[in-house]
Amino acid sequence: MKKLLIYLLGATAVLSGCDRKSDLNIDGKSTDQRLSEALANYQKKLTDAPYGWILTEYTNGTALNGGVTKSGPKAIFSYYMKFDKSNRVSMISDFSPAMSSTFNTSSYFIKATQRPTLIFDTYSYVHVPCDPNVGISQSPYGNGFGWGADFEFSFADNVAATELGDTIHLTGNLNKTRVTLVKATQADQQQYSTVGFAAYSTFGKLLTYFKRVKGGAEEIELAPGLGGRTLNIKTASHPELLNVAIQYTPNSMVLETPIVAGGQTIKSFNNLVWNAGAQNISVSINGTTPAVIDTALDPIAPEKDIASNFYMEGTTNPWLATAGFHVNGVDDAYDILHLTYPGANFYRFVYFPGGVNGGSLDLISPFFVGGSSSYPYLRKGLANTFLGDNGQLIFEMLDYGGIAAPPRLVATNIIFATGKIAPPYAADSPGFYIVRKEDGISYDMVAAGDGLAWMTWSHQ
Amino acid sequence: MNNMKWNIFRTIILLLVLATGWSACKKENVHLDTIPVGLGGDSTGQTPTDVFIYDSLTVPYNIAVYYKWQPGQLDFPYEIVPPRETQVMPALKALMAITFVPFNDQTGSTVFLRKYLPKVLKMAGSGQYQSNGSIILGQAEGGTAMLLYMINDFTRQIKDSAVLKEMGHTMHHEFGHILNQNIAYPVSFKQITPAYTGNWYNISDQAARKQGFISAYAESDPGEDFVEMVATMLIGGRNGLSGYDDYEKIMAEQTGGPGSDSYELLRAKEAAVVDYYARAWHIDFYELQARCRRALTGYFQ
Repeated sequence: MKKLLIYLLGATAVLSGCDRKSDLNIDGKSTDQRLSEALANYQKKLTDAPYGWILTEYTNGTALNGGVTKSGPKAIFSYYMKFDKSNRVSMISDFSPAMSSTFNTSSYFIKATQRPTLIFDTYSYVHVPCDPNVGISQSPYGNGFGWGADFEFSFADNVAATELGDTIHLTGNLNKTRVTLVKATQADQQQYSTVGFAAYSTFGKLLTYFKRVKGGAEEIELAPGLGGRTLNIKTASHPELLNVAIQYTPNSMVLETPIVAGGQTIKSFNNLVWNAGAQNISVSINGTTPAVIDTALDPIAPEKDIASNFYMEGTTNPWLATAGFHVNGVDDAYDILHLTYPGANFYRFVYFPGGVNGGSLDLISPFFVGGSSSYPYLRKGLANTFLGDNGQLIFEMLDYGGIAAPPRLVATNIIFATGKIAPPYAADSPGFYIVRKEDGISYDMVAAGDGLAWMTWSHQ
Repeated sequence: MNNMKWNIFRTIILLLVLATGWSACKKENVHLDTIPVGLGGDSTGQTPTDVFIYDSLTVPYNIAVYYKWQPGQLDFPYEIVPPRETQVMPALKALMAITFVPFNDQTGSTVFLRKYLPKVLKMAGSGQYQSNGSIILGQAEGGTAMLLYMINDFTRQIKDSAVLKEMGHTMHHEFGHILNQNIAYPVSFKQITPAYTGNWYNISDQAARKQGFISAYAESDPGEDFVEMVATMLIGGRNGLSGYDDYEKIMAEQTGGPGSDSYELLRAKEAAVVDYYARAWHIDFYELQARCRRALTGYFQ
């Protein structure tokens, strides 16, 4: 009897095991089918927008590579893009003047990873700030890192593709950047197709380090932040710098966080127009107050004793620069990054006051690794440093013979010697202003003669 | 006896019950003719690049090329970017011209490469930057896949010849590993310079060459040493006195020259490599070297 019960139980178990009502199909569709349909819906959402999308990426101020996370400046990257049904995407971006108006076509794909993910899967403008080669990304994070930007983005709104609105939120998969995709209007498309990110290229026409906004409540100084994607803002009444990331549109610069200058809250500079005659830019502050952004040679509120402090700090802890001079709007214009010496590679430009000859000479020369000599061009990179009347550092460059310096180093040394990028040169070099950056530990050395060249120094 | 009958009866009943149960489960229709969703990988529009890859690599060499970014395909978490699409075809053509063709000419057909080449090529636009300051330019994954980095830097211009040479170096290096995985190189090779170190990235190529290693990376372990010899002999090595120099120039200028310990150690390694290719693969390495050199110099513009 007992055994019979066991058999009956066993039989029930076998029979009930055959109840197939709990399969994974929903509405008769398998998981795979539903997944591929969902992905197709996400793609449809992107391709159905007739006038394209405006993608804005906000970095977090961190960049990840090989398990190492570095901190650095934040940045905003803006794109206008159009997705088509055969996985092609064409876009412009605010990364460089060329990219701001020349459309580039590459591919994209929507894939199921942890979440539905939009991947830009061949090289495009989106990858430029991600490029680990600093020669391309111009990233202040150094080789290997890019700007902490992403090119794989997860849909982050937690709703089905069909329920997504005209603003879609994405999150970068590697660096967790925040991204908004906003559906463009016909007017947007018109503007982006004709002038692109014109505000970016217009602002880029002012090539001097210092710029002044005149016409508001108080004159405002704009200077580039680390890596040039943010602005360091000062006024005479507020000499502590405010670092603000900038979002560019076809005709405006929008400040990520509003600033207060001379009692006025500034959210944006709108309607940028380049005046070729006056070589300045007309704007309207917040879209209302007319103003002009002009070039300037001198800092509006220089830090007291900064040049001599910079010199003294260098005597115990040499200053290092990861690249050569920014000249006339071009980062590392003389391509010092690829400066060569047989068998060795450029590592850093070094400024070591009192570093040579028992402290009597200052060293300002490229440092090489991998070769037999660390300073192969040392004899071309010795100097005496003087302090100018307006707080500049002035270099007397000395030539002690030795092997000839390559042209790009010669050009660099001429700037060091003259404080200008081109003749006519003054009898006495105006030297360089030293400007502290937003991180507090990096400094720009700005040519005081014309403001068109600068180099960034730190201890890294 | 009775008991036994009961037992048989019981067993039959049990089998019947189980059979009913199982057959009840067969109600589900299995559509073996329905292709699973997503089989065959992602489908996108065919580009001229895709057509070229199929015709020139997949058909003759049985190789798949992944140039589009796929999450997790390369090392994670590294900041690596995919290649620029316009770079893919020229880079693959160059790779075939300077590394595949000499092997085909030497062995008489595509059979050798078709058999031993890795079945998958993965491409990246940038290098993979390591925290120790070195950059990974190529990798082989157990003889099945080969990773080619820095495709975006590729050019045929002679002034930038280092990029193409670097790519060829990677290919020869990784292919050398694959041949070694099929037929091991002689153990005696490890004894020529036993001083291998994990600290190789703190050593310059010049310093390594003075110690009997053809490059700093060769100093990392005997397997790498062997294939660095192979690659440098076939296409040259970086950080020569005039940039990317060929093997004989490096030997003459950077090792200390004939008679020095380092020079003789490297010549001993060279002999081991030549001997290995002759015995294991019946390939005249010096002939192959000459073919590679001709193919390379002929490719620049």
